[in-house]
Amino acid sequence: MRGAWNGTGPGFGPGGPRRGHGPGRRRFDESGTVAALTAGEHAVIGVIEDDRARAQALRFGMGEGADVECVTAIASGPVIVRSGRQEIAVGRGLARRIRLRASDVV
Amino acid sequence: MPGRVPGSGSLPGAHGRRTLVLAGNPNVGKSVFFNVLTGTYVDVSNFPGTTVEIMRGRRDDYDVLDTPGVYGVGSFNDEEAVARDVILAADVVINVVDAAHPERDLFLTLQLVDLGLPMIVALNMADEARRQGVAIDRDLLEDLLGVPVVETVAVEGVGFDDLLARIPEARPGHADHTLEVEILPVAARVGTRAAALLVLEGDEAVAARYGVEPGTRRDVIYTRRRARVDDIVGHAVRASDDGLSTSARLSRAMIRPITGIPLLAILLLAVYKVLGEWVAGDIVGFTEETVMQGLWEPFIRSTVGGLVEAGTALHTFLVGEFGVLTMTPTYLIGVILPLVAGFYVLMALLEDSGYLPRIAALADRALTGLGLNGRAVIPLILGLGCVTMGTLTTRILGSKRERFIATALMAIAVPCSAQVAVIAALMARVGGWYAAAYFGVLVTIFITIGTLLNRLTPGQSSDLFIDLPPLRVPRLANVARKSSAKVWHFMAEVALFFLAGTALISTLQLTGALTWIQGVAAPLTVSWLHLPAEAATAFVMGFVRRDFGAAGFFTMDLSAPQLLVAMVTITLFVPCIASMMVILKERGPRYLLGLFTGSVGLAFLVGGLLARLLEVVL
Repeated sequence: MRGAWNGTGPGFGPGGPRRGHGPGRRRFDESGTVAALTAGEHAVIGVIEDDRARAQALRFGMGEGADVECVTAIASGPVIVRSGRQEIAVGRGLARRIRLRASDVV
Repeated sequence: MPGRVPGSGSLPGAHGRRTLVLAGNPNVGKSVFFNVLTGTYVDVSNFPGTTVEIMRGRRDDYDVLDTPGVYGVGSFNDEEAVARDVILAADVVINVVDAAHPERDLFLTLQLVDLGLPMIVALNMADEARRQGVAIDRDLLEDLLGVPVVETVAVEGVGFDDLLARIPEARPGHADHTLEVEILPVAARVGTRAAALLVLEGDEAVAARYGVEPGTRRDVIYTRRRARVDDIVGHAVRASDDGLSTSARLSRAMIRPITGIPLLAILLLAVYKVLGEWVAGDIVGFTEETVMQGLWEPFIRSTVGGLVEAGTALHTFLVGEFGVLTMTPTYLIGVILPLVAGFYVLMALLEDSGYLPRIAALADRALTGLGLNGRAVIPLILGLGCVTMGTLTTRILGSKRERFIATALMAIAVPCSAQVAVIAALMARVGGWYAAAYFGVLVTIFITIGTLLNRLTPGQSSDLFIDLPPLRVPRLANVARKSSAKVWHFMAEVALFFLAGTALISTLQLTGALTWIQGVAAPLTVSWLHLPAEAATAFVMGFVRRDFGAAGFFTMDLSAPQLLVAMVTITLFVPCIASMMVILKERGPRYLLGLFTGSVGLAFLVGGLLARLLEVVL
């Protein structure tokens, strides 16, 4: 299913804002970031605020504008994304700091 | 002279020889490459002011230097900073590229090109690339980059004649021409093109060297560089996405906890059988007893006995119970060498097959609770082999905080393989429940200490951000070369520490200090731990060799609960003196002192509480 995240701003989308933890525990809002991806979803990388993460992502070819596909996401654990022919494991903390661009629903 | 950075003078000059520097991403086969290029004589040293190792060798008229594997050159961590400085001082850079992953590796290549350094590209593991269906048009790549490109298969020694023949052709490549406008004014102030680019990219260390402000162009430069890589790959690389389905499914199974944890459990069981029983038991039995104690020790004793009178302090120091010529070689070669070799082979297998980064991904969630990330599995597994190995490997961790926590966890809660063999034998006497209890107590302590350290240690840990190479059957030649190089360097690096440790213990024994310590510890052992007085001797022995510490309990008549208390205490107790020295070197004196007091305190505290708990419960 394409277009996992669309809408006018962070936190808004079909079904309401995503939560990082179980029901009722609102510790992190992961919507709109790599941390919200689920297996099979495609997305486009958006802004990465963390300087160091941004540079590392660019080196890996996962910079802003890059097309990625989520291979698998471990609950409360790393998110595995594919960028080009590379598979990259992104720790959840870092995944929360990599935003996604709003994708046009096809 | 292009590429030379004045004031980086921490590298000794080339003695008139030209310097070849190997640069490349992690896991491209650089160490094998280096090995093939330079043969067996290699000098390993730390880059001044850091714990990062540089290997230096020779080939014909060239000095060859290896650098740590990095994804780019900059100052994000010690590895990158050292790689940067070694590369900047090179006459020629040999960029080793994994031919199966050009889209990843060419980023560094283009950065090196942009730096304006004379270079040559080696497409290594060319056979592997072909097998994975990646075809690189070498000629076109050479045109596009503007530097010589050679195909190599380091593990088979293929391509090196070609490489060496073309070194004179090494030249700066086709840099991003849009950079020229930005570089020139900076280069005028800073002296060299390479430094100017780094300053523009925001490298603070280099900027500080020249007294200028770091630039803010990194994002733009990196984005353009990335686009150029994609462009080059688009033209020169044809990749067929062959049926990766089986390995993709296996890969997923390894990472997802529901399947990954059982798989890991199977691996750990296999490791225990092979390393814990076979290597630590049978092989060590042979090397330690038959070879070292059976052949070497009598030989050296008679030799020394002919020169130095028996019974003198010098004689005892050299060939006595803790003799530097008897115990140190016996322990090093008889016990440590087989175990270290075993663990490095294990690591090389896990790395070469691609399983290791997947274990890291699987373990990441648990490790973040301890202030670490998935990468810490590497030092932790090696710490099971030998705490010195584990401590040295903490160098790969991304932040000081992680190194702090990982070292403490290993020193406190992880038994080393020398110990495990003895403990397993002892536990076999008392049966399954006690063995399970031992394991349970250690795991609890591990998690508790880790969580506590995570709360209390200042600083920031880094997140997992690694690439997962495709799974493949490990190549034994690769594994053998990699592990033998590592074993060699490890032994060379720690031999001195073991020697110093033995010398210290020998001195303590000769001065009677050892007996005094035992005397002081005995009442504590009896009244608090409810163990016999001789146990104090075993604990002190644990300083010297952890396996001696455990083995000391063989001859004592202990009840099952007592044995459990003894094993738990001896495991939590400080690691052997050699590893303490390595910790001293890697973490500093204050850390060691804190660790020592904490470790001893915790060991006795837990031991005593456990003793009382068992008395109440049983």
